[in-house]
Amino acid sequence: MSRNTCRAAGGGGGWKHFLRFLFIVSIPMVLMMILVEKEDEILEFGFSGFQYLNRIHFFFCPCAVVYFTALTALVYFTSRPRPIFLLDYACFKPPFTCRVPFSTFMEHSRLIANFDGKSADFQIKILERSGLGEETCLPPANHYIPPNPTLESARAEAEMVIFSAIDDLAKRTGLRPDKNVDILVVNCSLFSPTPSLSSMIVQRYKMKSNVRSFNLSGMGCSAGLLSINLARDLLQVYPNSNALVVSTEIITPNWYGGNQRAMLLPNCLFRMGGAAVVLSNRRSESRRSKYRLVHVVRTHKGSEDRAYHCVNQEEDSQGYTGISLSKDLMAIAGQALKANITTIGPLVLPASEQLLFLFTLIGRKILNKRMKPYIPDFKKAFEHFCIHAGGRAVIDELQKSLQLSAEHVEASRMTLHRFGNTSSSSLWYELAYIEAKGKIKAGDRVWQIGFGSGFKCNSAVWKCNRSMNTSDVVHQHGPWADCVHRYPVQIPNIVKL
Amino acid sequence: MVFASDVIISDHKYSTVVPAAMTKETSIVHELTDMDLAMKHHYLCGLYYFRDIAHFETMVLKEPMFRLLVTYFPVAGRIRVDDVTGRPYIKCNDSGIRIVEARCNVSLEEWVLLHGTGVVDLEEEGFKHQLVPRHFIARPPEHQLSPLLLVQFTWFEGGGFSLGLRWSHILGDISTAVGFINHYGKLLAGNTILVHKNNNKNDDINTSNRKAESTSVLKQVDTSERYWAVVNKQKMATMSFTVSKNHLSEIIGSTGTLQMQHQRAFEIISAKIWHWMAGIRQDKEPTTITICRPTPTHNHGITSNMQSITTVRRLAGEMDVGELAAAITDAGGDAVADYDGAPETDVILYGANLTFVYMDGVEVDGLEIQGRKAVGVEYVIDGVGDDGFVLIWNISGGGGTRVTVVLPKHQLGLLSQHICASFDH
Repeated sequence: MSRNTCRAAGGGGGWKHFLRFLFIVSIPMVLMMILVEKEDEILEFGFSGFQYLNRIHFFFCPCAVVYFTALTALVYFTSRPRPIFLLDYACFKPPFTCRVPFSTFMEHSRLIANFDGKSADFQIKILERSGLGEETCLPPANHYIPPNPTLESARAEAEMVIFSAIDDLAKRTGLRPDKNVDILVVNCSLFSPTPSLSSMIVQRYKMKSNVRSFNLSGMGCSAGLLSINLARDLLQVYPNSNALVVSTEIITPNWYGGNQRAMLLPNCLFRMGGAAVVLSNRRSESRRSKYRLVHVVRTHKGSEDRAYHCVNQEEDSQGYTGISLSKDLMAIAGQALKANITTIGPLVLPASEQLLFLFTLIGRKILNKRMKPYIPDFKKAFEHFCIHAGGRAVIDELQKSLQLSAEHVEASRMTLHRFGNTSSSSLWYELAYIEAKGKIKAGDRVWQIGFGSGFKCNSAVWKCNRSMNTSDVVHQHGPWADCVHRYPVQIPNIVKL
Repeated sequence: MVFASDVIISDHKYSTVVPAAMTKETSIVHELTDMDLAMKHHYLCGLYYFRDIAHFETMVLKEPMFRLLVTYFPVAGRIRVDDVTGRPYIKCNDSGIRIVEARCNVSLEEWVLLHGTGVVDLEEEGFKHQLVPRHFIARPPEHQLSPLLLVQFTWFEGGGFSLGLRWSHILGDISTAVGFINHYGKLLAGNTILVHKNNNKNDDINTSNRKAESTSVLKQVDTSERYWAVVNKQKMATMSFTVSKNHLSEIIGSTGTLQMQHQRAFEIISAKIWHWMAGIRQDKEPTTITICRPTPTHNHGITSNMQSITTVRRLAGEMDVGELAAAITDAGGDAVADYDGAPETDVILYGANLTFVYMDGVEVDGLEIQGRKAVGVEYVIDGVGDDGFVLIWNISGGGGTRVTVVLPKHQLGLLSQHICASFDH
């Protein structure tokens, strides 16, 4: 096993092991040298201990200083985390054959036999207020009356979404999936076939046999950042590697055909989407990478019953399976966010904000309980915000609690309008929007916040590594290439259907 | 030996195809002209049979429709009724057209043998309704869910394939529908050039709203309470046959009129049928017939009812075929109905009088799939008045003239004897 580890670690890590070996071996050797040379003096140690130490001091001091400085430097450089770069990413752009206008959705809801009148009315009411636009997309199976999901059609959707995103990414970065991918992480919550989606990718792109592949399922809409976290941790262990992270949600098998209101919401909001991201710890990629990963903070509120049950996959009385969203969802999301902020705040906020928060906290506890809690101004820590486009309510809630302006949440709202709730990949569509609008500059910090079942709130902080030419970004056929000129749009509170 | 009872059309799947791009806010309302509204009870049914088609994915068949609907976006709309005036219009909200997929358990040849010939009862067999979807636009309030175009793809055993379409006449006349489907065929073949966008047709609306000259070509009829559909007093049936050049020569020869040599197949055939009908319908001879011709549409992609409509009146006393043909040829003008589009009045054009529709210069069998033309093409109108309807179009490549007749069943039975005697031997 150790032989494999050494080989797999590659040439890059070998010198570190050698130096560590030297360090370990050198201590007893030095001690031995001292003992052999000064043997008789050691016998008189008790009498002339001080003199002895002085002599050692004079002889060894300069060498020791150099030696121990080098040692410290070695320990520091080999044990600090490697910087992780985001080389580039690509989002899936659904074909026009998947488009679902409002009126078509409404008509289908009325025509599907099992839906009672109330269910159809409810779905229409949700759609009117959802913040979605007329160009969101559902997979081909969902265009049938009623939808006809099969394993084959689900696989077809997965292939369409994932391969398209990876092909686009390969074109942008010059990445060779067969040679250059060392780590592969795929997350897709509600579709987990055998062989896994990660195996499907390995098969399609003929990846090397020692690729480290991982398939995360069941982890909800926040799984995109979980995958980034996993890839980052793996890139700490394996030097000189690239990690391909694919985030998607496959819609085909998850259409709900029953009449429970809490379970009809996903039908209205979830749409096709997917993203592929390349992370790297190679120094050679640092210059052309778009972003550097600064922090990932994960918060899991699953220990609380209410939080655990608030997004729940279950069967209704008719036997239809669907995802039930509880009425507490927004409140729980708010609490999860607070917990996440408590961890991320100290990492990103400037000292002034942290002090203010601390003083207000002390003030509230000791002096005046009715003092308003101080909400740190995260606009001082970040230039851009990507809030999971889970629904209009989520974005409204976060805008309020973080005291963000309309411009800060524009990327989230416009992503919801153009693409709908694409689950774990929505954060990447939002970042692509910000880039397509030409708003991002080198040095800008981006905060991605994802929410999902569990209940989990995950954050990632990125720092923009280089400037981006808008025309380059748009001409690279990002998902916004053909429509960003139409955005931002005014989204009415209630759309007239 | 396959019997009609052995044939099963099954595996029906219903889906919707929408325009590939969002229709602009400014184009959302498509006003319906008075003529459009007069045609709301008629539905054009078309059927194309293809042989030896390699099976391909339904999405391959559907994809060109998405692109085509960007130009023909009113076809993807739905009927709405104005709150104030009560006048129907089309809201181009991208609802889409309905696609039906089905399988047939027999071969195309066997099907055609059983259903393709002879007198077909429209009500019971619904004009090959198993291959063409049967659907009527619902009256308000359910009109919002009624698609204006339905297309059915049916796969037969052994490589046969049929494409059936049901086009609501309110959208446009037969030449518009044929133009639409021919365009679809071109896109399917990989031709990426789209017809230019639907221009504002306001200039042409005026022609349709001209007041009537003399004879009214429209008649009020009984219609269904729930749908825009004609309720006939008699059972209607349909029949199709081909008239070759030889047949035409024989007719000319038999009448002995020199004049007719200069006339075209259309006039000759319609004169012949008119002549026979006079003999058949002794209770009420058709003294007036209506003739519809497509107007040359320079602006393709326009959906509207702009065909030119004429009436021909027969003088008292017997007229022979030659004289009838002459009368038809000489009939000019454009007698457009005095119909104000008021929704309470349910009128029809086809079947108000014995109606002849010439598909003059229209490539009715133009649709090609996989480089092949259809081996059989049928068009008929569902929702025809009791006075009857005849559709006449030229088979491309000089293959003769195709005639489809819709009449009350017993009348058609008598007519078919004449037809079989004159044209099929």
